[in-house]
Amino acid sequence: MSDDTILFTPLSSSARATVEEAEILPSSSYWKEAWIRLKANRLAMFGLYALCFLIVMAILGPFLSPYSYYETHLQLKNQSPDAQFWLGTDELGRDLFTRCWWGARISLFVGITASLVDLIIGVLYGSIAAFFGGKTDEWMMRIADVLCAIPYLLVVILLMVIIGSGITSIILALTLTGWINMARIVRSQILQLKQQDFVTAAHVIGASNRRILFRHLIPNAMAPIIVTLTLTIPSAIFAEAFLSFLGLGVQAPIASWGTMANDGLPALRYYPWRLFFPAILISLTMFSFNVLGDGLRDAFDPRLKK
Amino acid sequence: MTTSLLDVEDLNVSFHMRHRSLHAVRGITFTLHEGQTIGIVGESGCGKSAAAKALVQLHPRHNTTIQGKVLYKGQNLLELSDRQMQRVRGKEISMIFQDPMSSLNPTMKIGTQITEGIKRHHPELSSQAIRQQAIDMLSKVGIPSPELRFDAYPHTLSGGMRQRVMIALALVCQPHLLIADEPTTALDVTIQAQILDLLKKIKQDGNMSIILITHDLSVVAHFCDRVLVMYAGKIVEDAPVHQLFSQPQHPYTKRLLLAIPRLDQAKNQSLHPIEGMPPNLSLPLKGCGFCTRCEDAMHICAEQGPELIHVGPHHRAACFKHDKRARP
Repeated sequence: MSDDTILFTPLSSSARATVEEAEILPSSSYWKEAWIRLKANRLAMFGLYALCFLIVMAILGPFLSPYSYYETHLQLKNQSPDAQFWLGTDELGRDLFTRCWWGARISLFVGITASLVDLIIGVLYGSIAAFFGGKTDEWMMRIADVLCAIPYLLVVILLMVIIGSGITSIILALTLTGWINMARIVRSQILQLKQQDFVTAAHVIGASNRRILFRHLIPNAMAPIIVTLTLTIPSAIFAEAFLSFLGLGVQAPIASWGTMANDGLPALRYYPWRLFFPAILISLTMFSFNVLGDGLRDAFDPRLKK
Repeated sequence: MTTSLLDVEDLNVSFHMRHRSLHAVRGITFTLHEGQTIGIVGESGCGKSAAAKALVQLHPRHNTTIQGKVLYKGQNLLELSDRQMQRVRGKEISMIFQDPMSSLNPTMKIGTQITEGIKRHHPELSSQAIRQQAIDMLSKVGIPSPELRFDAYPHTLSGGMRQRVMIALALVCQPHLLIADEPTTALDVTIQAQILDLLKKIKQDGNMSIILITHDLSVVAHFCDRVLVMYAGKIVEDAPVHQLFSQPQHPYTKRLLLAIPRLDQAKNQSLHPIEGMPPNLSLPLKGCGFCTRCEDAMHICAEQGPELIHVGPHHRAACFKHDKRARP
């Protein structure tokens, strides 16, 4: 009875305030919600874990075996995988396990560096073109179109002739035209966003152009930028493998997955593991980045997913 | 009520597209006094918003021409550089928009968005003081638990709350002129009344003038001191609010007032829409823009555009009916 008498007394103002404050949930941000959606996507999470594994192995892998990537054992060439050489040896008796993870370093480094350069140039170029619009936009995008029209392989071969082959020239070759895709995507996003009222509102409170560009426009275009980035990295890695396979990439004894696949190809019928291991690493990387990119796209924009 | 805050003289706004130009605002002239509230009414596409945005130069420069004079405290805003204009916006003149759902940045916390303006115009303040000022402003516009809301993202708030945040954002630097571009159109009626009362209260507290753009005549009656009626990019009538409702002088205003549904009209009586369409603003206008829809149109109306003339001490209308020659 006494409980009821308390329950039916008028609500005091302090108690009312507690109820009101309890109604405000801790605000979970856009990024947190996207992360929750990503975690629910098993394939994308597999991609994420596989990439973490590849990166960790690229760093630690070469230290796990007693051999270095250039050390030759001419008596022990073309060994099949066994306890001594975990993934076998190549035609000069170099340990494939060590070479695979050295290749991972080169491939991931080239892929990620080239993509980051693409990201910076592409985001700046695209957002500036879209933000200022009019003639500026017209000119900047026409220049990009012209660059895009030059055959890619021709540019690469010319670059190799001029500055020689190596990691730097591969990255340069990949970024020379690679940023255009990012610039186009960012431009289309910014063109849409700059029409929105919150951008006008930022103008109205007197924010500077730079602030509007970097604090209001680009953060709102972040989701497509990240998705494009995760899809650029594998294409850059693949391009590196492709160029190395053609003999335009890094030079021996440095290994990259592409050069290793190239070396292994002639021996395919007798020593298939020499092609098999680098090929499977390339495939795993491509697959992981692609499913992660798809997963991120779904996580950032749940409406796209049916 | 005597000093003028804003003098707009012969303001013209044109938008240029690839193959044609759109002359959206065709020479409007008006004066806004300190502490006054002016309502600009008119149907969609008559140039209300285009004119308002031109006052603070929010149109993109590359495809818009603005001509005329916008004298704010004696200074022509149209002559200022981008950088000088940035100093005027937010601190002197601020603006709120129609759709509260899209006028806040979804990736930024509410607090960050409000403090942005203070940081810009008062860089000397400490971050603690800035935060406090923003929280005070949030509680002034009626946001419950402003300290907690400070760190919230816009999507956690309802439309009415977001409009309150938008008002806080616009007013945090205490501007002298607020341009409210249909601030209540996207809100439901109860929230509409709350927001208008809030604006009224803030206006009385500080020394602020308001330009209210709307197509809702009841909002105008409730809120404004003076009304400008716009049609096809021109001001057709300019009157104190009571005179506009009791003695409208322009046929367009009369038809607008007649078009409002009334509670006391007979049940079977139909509404009175204004027949026809407003003229195409990408073409030059020879006569009066309203003449094809006007019941009192005369021959001169198709030939010549009428000027705004005084029809009372504070009352102007642009119609040949008030010309001396028209009187029989």
